[in-house]
Amino acid sequence: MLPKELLRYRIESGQIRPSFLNTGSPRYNRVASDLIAAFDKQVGNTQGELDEAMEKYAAGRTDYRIVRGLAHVITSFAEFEASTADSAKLRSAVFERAAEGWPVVRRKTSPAETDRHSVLEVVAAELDLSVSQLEDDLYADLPERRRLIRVTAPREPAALIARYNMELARGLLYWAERLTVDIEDSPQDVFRYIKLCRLMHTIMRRERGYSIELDGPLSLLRGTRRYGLKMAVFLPALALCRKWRMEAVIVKAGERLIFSLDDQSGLVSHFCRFPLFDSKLERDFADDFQKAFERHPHGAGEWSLSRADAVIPVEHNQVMIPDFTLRDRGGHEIYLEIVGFWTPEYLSRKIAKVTAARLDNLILAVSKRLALSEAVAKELDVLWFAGKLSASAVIERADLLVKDD
Amino acid sequence: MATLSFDQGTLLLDGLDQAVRQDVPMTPPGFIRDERVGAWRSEAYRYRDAVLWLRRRKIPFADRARHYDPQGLRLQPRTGIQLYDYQEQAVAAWRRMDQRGIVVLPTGAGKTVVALEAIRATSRPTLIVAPTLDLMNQWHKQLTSAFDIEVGLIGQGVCDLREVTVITYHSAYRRMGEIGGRFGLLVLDEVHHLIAPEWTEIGRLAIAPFRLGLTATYDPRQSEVLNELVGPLAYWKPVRELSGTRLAPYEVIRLSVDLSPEERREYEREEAIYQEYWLEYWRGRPDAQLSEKKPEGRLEILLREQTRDAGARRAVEAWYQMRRIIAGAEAKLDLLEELFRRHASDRTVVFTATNETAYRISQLFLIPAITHRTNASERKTILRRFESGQYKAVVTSKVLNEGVDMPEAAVAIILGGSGSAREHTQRLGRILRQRANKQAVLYEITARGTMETAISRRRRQTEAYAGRARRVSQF
Repeated sequence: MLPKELLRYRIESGQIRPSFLNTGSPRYNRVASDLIAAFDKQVGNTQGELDEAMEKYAAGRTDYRIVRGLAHVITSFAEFEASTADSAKLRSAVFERAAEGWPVVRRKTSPAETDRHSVLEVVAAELDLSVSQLEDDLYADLPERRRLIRVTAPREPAALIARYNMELARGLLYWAERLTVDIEDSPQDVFRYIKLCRLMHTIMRRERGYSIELDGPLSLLRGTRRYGLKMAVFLPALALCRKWRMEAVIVKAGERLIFSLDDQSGLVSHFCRFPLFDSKLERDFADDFQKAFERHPHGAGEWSLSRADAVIPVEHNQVMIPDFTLRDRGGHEIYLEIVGFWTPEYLSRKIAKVTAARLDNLILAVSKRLALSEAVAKELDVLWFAGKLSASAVIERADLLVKDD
Repeated sequence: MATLSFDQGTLLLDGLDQAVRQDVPMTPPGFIRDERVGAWRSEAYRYRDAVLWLRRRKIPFADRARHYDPQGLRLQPRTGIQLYDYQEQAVAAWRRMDQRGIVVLPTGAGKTVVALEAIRATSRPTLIVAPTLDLMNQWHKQLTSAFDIEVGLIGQGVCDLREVTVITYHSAYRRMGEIGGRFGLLVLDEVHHLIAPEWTEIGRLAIAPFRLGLTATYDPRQSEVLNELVGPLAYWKPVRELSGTRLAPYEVIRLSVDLSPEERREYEREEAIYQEYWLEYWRGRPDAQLSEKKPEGRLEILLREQTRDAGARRAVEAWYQMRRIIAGAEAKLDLLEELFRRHASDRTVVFTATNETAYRISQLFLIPAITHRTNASERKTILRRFESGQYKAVVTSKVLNEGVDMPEAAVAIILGGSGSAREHTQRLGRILRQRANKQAVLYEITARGTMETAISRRRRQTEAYAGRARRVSQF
């Protein structure tokens, strides 16, 4: 995330727009590659020397903020190593000794004074160091004295610029007091990241996909930028989607501004996608469904299967995203939730969640792998299966549910 | 039964709907329906009103918001807390306001003692919020020596949460969502900081029914927010009433030095670039009013222009160079050495404009430096040794600017700094602390014929300064 002094944006009729760099810009590809090379050259040098080299590179340039911003992104990938000298101990020894002979001066004018060099000589001798070594190590623990040992930033100038753009957008989101995102993709990964970022959400279903308002407990009561950092952290998760847009309200100098981005903004996510299927069980079921569809185009063909694309809000700011959704031509939707490994507690929590969601169009398929008393098994309205979950069993149950309508 | 719980700095009221008849107002003041969780929500600071509201209506409720035992804290003062009359009056006035409110006392008048007595009298788990790490450490020290308990500390990487805990404003802003339910009394040192929009949340996200704000600078225009989150003005004593009785008298000595010929040449070269830019700038704006041309506004214009105008960019760089030359002027260091000689037996604090200069002086005269980078334990050691007299001098950049107690400091030397009046008041405050028979001296060293002369002039326009300087000398 870029710090505020490096943010570049335009404000126009209530909108705030980040000034993204074009990843194809020859000028900034050049700057990016210069900076990558400059960092490489500084490996082994101190952070102070690195900063100085950067300042020199940016000197006299009106676009110094871009240069510094790119350098900031690279620095976030840089590893530094602190000096091994115990500088605090050296300082304590030197200052104590100096205080004994206070005033310490550079040129003695009376016997009551102590010459600076003699203080250093005495302490250096005691610690078995040379005077120059002692002087050098006295403040070796300052951040600018750390040595650069490795840089793991993107090597491609265009990739660095793309990351710069992401960090610029994140820097603006830091000031956000609310954020609404619209997605048409499977919401599963997005909600996983929402949960990871510990944001609260309000979900609205749209004609295609969902609109999700993200904030925190306090947002309901007052405009607060308290959750801006979490929103900024979350942004790359949104950029994982193929079809998305976001609208944030940014508060800057007491003014509220709209900040919007979408899948055409050119943001490139560096977050990981979760695997499409959580388990082999799910993958096997999807395969089986596919085969059933191929074998009996008019049997399973009534139903199409999609992976985790429905979000059902349940109590206490939780959501349920059923593993699969079955849709028929008549517009019916049947959700399928598969439970493979489970403990009785897990299963009862799951059933409580399903009950709270008040869904009569959900099939809960539970593996018989673990022993469960027959009595409990009968009480629960679930689809039991042994080994693999077969597509035909699910389709049969789905047909039943539709007929009940 | 209804339940009141604490959720990340807010209160959740659940199960109220069954408990309340339809014909009475539905919720305590400030509560809003939160559909995300299906309960009523408010900011945590409304805890006291919410509890009173529920009790008044005889609505039974389970209090899960208060994460402390109101009778649980047994404070044993190690020795009786000695109060001056005005400190006693301050505490009494605050207690009359239902233990909510603000006490205004000038720097050096013993605000800490007022807080200690308030904590003792209230006997509730207490969170003390301090603006800087130094002040945090200082509170910790005073609380530890006043009471027979372990005192907690949160800030600068340390996180030790206890029934009485000191925290920085920064950490309090970040952590209040977790710990806001654990304290019955909230003490806000330098409470004027609370009005910053983000920092009001420190007050909002805590349930503490009792609150004490302390400050030397109370601005009635800010009273609305403070009144809501901390309480009314309970006690006020202006700076002049105290001077001469409790605060050490002091004198101000202004000294100026010349740049060396080489420094002067370099300074003038940069200054020419800087002035050239302004000549051009105003030439292009013949209608500009004289008031717009004040030097105070210049940097702001430059910072705005430098992203589109290479000339402005060069002018900014020139300005930084000028500052660097002035800050490190050899003659200043010579004069500093001379003052160290003159005050060899006085405890001396040197203030610099930049960290860079602070470290340079530290290495030249072998005295400890305190900057925002100095870690808590080293900082503590330095201040302790300075107090005991083991260290005679320390150098610091802006970090010690706020009310840090250095009761032994008799000499302050200002080598440079911004022109802001507040910064200066705080610096003065530090050497004004009470000490028997102390004659405090404040030196201000500027480079002649540079922009520093103007900064120094602005600096003098503060109340604490006006008419108080006994002697103005020139070398």
